[in-house]
Amino acid sequence: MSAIIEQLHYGFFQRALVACLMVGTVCALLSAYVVLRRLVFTTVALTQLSSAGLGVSALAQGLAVRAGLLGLLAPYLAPVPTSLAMTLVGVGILALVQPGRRSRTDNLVALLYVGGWAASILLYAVAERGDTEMAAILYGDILGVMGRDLLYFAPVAAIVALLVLWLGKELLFTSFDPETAVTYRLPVWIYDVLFLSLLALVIVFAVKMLGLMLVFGYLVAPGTAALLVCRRMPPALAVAVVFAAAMSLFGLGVAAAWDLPPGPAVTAAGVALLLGIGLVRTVGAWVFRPAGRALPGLQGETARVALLTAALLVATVVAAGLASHIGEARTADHLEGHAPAGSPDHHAPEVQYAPHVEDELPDPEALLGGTGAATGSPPPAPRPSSGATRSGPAPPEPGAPPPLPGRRPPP
Amino acid sequence: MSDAFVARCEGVALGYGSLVVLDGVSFTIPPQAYVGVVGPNGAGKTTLLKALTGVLRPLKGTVELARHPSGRALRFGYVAQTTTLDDGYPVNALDVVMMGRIARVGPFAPFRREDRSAAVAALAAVGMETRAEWTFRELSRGQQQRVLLARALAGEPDVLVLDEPTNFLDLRAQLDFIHTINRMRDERDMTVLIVTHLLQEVSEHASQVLLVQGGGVQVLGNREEIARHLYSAVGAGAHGAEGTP
Repeated sequence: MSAIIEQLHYGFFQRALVACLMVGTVCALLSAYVVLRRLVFTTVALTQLSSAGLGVSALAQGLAVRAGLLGLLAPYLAPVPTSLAMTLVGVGILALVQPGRRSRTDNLVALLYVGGWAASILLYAVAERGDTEMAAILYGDILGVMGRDLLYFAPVAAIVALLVLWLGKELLFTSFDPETAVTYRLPVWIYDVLFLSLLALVIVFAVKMLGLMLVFGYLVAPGTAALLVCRRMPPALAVAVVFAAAMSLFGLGVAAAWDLPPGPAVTAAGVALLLGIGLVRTVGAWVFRPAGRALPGLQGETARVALLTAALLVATVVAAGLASHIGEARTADHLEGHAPAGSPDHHAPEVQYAPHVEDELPDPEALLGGTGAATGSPPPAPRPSSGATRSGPAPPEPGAPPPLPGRRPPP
Repeated sequence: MSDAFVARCEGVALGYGSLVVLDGVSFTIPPQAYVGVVGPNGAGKTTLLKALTGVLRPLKGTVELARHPSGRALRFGYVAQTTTLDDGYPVNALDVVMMGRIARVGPFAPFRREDRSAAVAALAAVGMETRAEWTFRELSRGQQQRVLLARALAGEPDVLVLDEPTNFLDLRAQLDFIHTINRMRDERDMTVLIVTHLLQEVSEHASQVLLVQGGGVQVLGNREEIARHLYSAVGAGAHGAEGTP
């Protein structure tokens, strides 16, 4: 456990945790509606389109650098606007086709998905350092989240969360019974498009920070878990948020302790917790009913949610503690030179930080005549990279606590 | 109503895009009428309801809806078949009924205490007050249908529209439901439009019947006319067996 707490002293880990909690919270609120509205596959398609948009930006920025036009075109080639435009095109296509809801839209969603996927691969194949970028987009670069990423995402997350909560009753009615909602003069089509647009907005910002896989995980697992155990929507939203926080802490804890790539670790933590809840729910049906009859308080919704929250917290602490204990044991082995052959610590190669496009590109202001990389100032420090793109341990700093195997130094 | 009608159709054609479902439709629905809409499956009954509730614009002609004496638009309460709903939603009976108050509350605003009171009263009116906390899934089909009726009533509608509400209910549940509708109509000054295959109920209680068949709508006005035409007309349709109550 101490290894995890130790990591919290480092800015990169703090930012990673804040990013996961922020993205997890807003995605959890959307997640329940994603599952209820059967938009899981649509969500995958939108994340792929977002990835393709980032690919367009990476390719265009590379071409602009070669042409010496980056200073002029930089504002138009930034990753977020490009990705947002691409994703909203997908939303627009779905909005045009979906109104009847009876039409078969599966094939259209599938086409958007494979189209976005193919475009991503092709774009990153021809973009400079595309393979590195592709891996970062796919698995995430959580430890590379910058403070400004969080600053940009915070208002987006706040607006989306407030809208989802404020329009909760309308979103629920138009999801549950759109046919009747129309007769109440509710603009069902507008609510459908609004929801998809909010989804697209979160996906675009979140994918750039945390990667496709984890964002998709946050958009599916919390809602699924919440709907497994809750009988009403408000508690379901609360449980989804708690679940997202639990999978973030659990996953990051395991990643820190075992030196695993954090994105896949958090995603796997979500799946593991979800399976655990499914198991507990099945087994709990045998246990809780007699217990509920004996203790009437256990039958209420509040009691169920409180019990589940407590169980999630206990599971997270126990799992993180266990993972940390094993991780510390591995660290001790490593420091004593007993790393087992074939382990990731054995023959660890020299550190090679994966460069990031934003760090590679000159500052647009500098190109326009300001200060920065183009005027001879030192290049920016390399961004920390996640386990997914890191290939070896960094040397410890003098006086710094002994790092975990392969752990990069604090920035 | 401020006018002597709730809805008036004049030379209306209804359909979707280039597909014309009904043509040459002209009739008037008077206030507080009990209108039965009957006809074989696929004849255009639901299409007609959509036009009467203002959801579907006519391809041709005019559908005129009256206004409430206060000047506002008419309020519709709509009850569809439960089979169109996903009962896996995390909603209890009271949540479903509260949905009927949404149009009165408006977006960005939470439900008020009076909305909850109206919802509870609507549940009580259909005899479901003891099931308020039950999830929608836990209710039987007949109970679900009553909850949907309570939702329609919670909005204090001027016109109650029911689209084959008794389909997939057993005979007892069907009769209970129809009995509740009749009681509601007696208690509240509502116009009721009901699409149904319960011809006996329609012939006994309806003040007007719209027979939707063959791309048109035939209006049957009085009980004798209804009794004379209904069984033969629907029995001669594509689903004669369905007409048996």
